[in-house]
Amino acid sequence: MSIQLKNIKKSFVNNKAKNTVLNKISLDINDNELVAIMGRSGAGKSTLLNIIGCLDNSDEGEYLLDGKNINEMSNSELSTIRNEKFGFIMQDFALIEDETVKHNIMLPTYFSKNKKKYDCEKIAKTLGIKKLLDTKASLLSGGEKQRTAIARALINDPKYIIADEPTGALDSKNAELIMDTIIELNKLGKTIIIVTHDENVAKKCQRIIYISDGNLKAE
Amino acid sequence: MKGILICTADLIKKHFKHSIVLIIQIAVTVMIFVGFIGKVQYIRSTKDVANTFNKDNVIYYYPFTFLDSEFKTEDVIKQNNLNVKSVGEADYMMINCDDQLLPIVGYNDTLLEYANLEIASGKWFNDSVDKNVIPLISTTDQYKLNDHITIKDRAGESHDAVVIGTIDKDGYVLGFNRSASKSIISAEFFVSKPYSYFIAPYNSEIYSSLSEQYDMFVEMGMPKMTLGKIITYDSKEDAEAIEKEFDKYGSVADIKLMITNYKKDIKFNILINGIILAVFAILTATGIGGINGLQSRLDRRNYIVYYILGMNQKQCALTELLRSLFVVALGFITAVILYTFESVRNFLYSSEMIISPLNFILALVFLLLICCFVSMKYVIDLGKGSLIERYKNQD
Ligand SMILES: Nc1ncnc2c1ncn2[C@@H]1O[C@H](COP(=O)(O)OP(=O)(O)OP(=O)(O)O)[C@@H](O)[C@H]1O
Ligand SMILES: [Mg+2]
Repeated sequence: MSIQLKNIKKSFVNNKAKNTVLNKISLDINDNELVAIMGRSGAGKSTLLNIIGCLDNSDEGEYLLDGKNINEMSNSELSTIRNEKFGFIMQDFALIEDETVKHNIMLPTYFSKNKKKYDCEKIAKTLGIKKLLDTKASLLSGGEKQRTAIARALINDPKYIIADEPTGALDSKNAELIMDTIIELNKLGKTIIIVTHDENVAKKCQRIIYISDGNLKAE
Repeated sequence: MKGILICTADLIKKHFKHSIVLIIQIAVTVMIFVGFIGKVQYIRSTKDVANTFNKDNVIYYYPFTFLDSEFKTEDVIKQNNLNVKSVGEADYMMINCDDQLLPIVGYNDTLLEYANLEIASGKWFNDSVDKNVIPLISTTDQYKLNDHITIKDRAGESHDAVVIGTIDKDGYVLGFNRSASKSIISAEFFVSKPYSYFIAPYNSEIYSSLSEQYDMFVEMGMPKMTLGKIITYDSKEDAEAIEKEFDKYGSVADIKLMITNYKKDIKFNILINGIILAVFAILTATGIGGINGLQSRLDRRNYIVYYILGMNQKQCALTELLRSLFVVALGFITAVILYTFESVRNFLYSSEMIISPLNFILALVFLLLICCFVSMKYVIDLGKGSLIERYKNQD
């Protein structure tokens, strides 16, 4: 088992009121799974994803990633894990808008400690954005931006892909294209966790997990 | 580290236009700061020289330059039966040193006694000097301590001279080349850069003959250099009589009064310069602070992305620090480049400022302090708390 969450608890304090978003959640995700996380807005989907992606800490509970205890890791170890093990795809693309597509795709390699060979051109070609490599990110369409973000998520060849509503800002045609790409990646061996509101997107996944009132319900 | 540098470069590129105003502001602050330090250093070294003159019962007298050469201080004293203790005089001469004509300033005994200047090496004139050689104080780099010089007088006869002491090349000597009144006092009266090669005692037979060579120069059309004198006295009544009489032939003022005015002048000068400096420091601090604050806010999204992709928060903070330091460095370099232009130097700085690399180093330290003070907040903010949380809060 590659991702193991045990009794994870996370709350936020808003105007002195404590809001428990995740209440002792336990979840296991296997290698090469494609998991959809669903729930109404504010249910805690992004919060869970941020904890899995080592972007945020939990308040309580245990998180083992490939057998290693994430709770015991330093900030710099966590940043290395984010850089090497995870590829992130966000609803708002999280691109550096005033840099070129190529610069955006290459960013994770600049933070990487191992000297792997990166094939930016090949990845861009597969995603159909090779011609756009020298274009400023701000000039791209939504679909192109998300494909750039996917290329960036793949550049360090991570084991896991974390996608927080990757199709949320796209029209249905582009959404389908992106979803097909994500499924393709899963077939190539990536473990993918995807947050979505879209039933059609969720149906394409092997497993769907619902969050409500701080608890998980599997289907 | 590579990632940090690339991101820093990206952010600098992104804000370059915004930064130009700040860079100019920083450059101006550096220029002003350098001048201020220059002034303070000047005052520090001139105060010592002026203090050697802080004596009781001395009058400074500077003759009108148009008085004819027949005019003699002694005659005025004799004719008016003035009660004068002694007269201190300096004379400006050209002498033949090692077959080269060089300017020399001669001090008479009274002046030698009063003007005890700070010596960089060797010693000031005193009786123990060998009477057969002419003692000289060197005021340039060209002649070093214990150098022997052959002086030729007008008759062609040679005399031995030796350098018994040196004055630091950045040092100051008593000026005697400005008139002074009771109210208008300039620091330049007391001090000036050495305008001769040597200071020598003006009591030797040899000099009087050598001095004629200078008269020869005057005949050849060179401007005559008028030097001030000091007159010492015993009682207040004598002083009043002396001042009243010499007022007809030049400007007179009591040294004590001049020193007092001079010190007030110094304080005023430092105050004015300090206020200007403080205003610019505040402008620069708010400039750096404001623009950094704005940029930090604009850059927040970039930092979130960097964080997601594998930077930790300390590295984000370091990137932010490098970005602000880069702007400061550019401002500083701009100032240094501007300084290399003579017109800029002439416009901003006077001869009453000592400017050396030290001034620039202090200016840099000053800037870094301001920068640390105002941008630390943003840097520390980036380094702690959760970037992800703040990202969400801002939406
Ligand atoms: N940094 C924070 N500070 C305070 N409250 C927060 C913070 N982050 C999230 N929350 C709260 O936690 C709850 C869950 O937020 P989360 O973003 O995980 O929801 P979500 O399921 O992703 O919703 P959506 O579908 O709208 O994206 C919300 O009520 C939100 O207001
Ligand atoms: Mg969300």
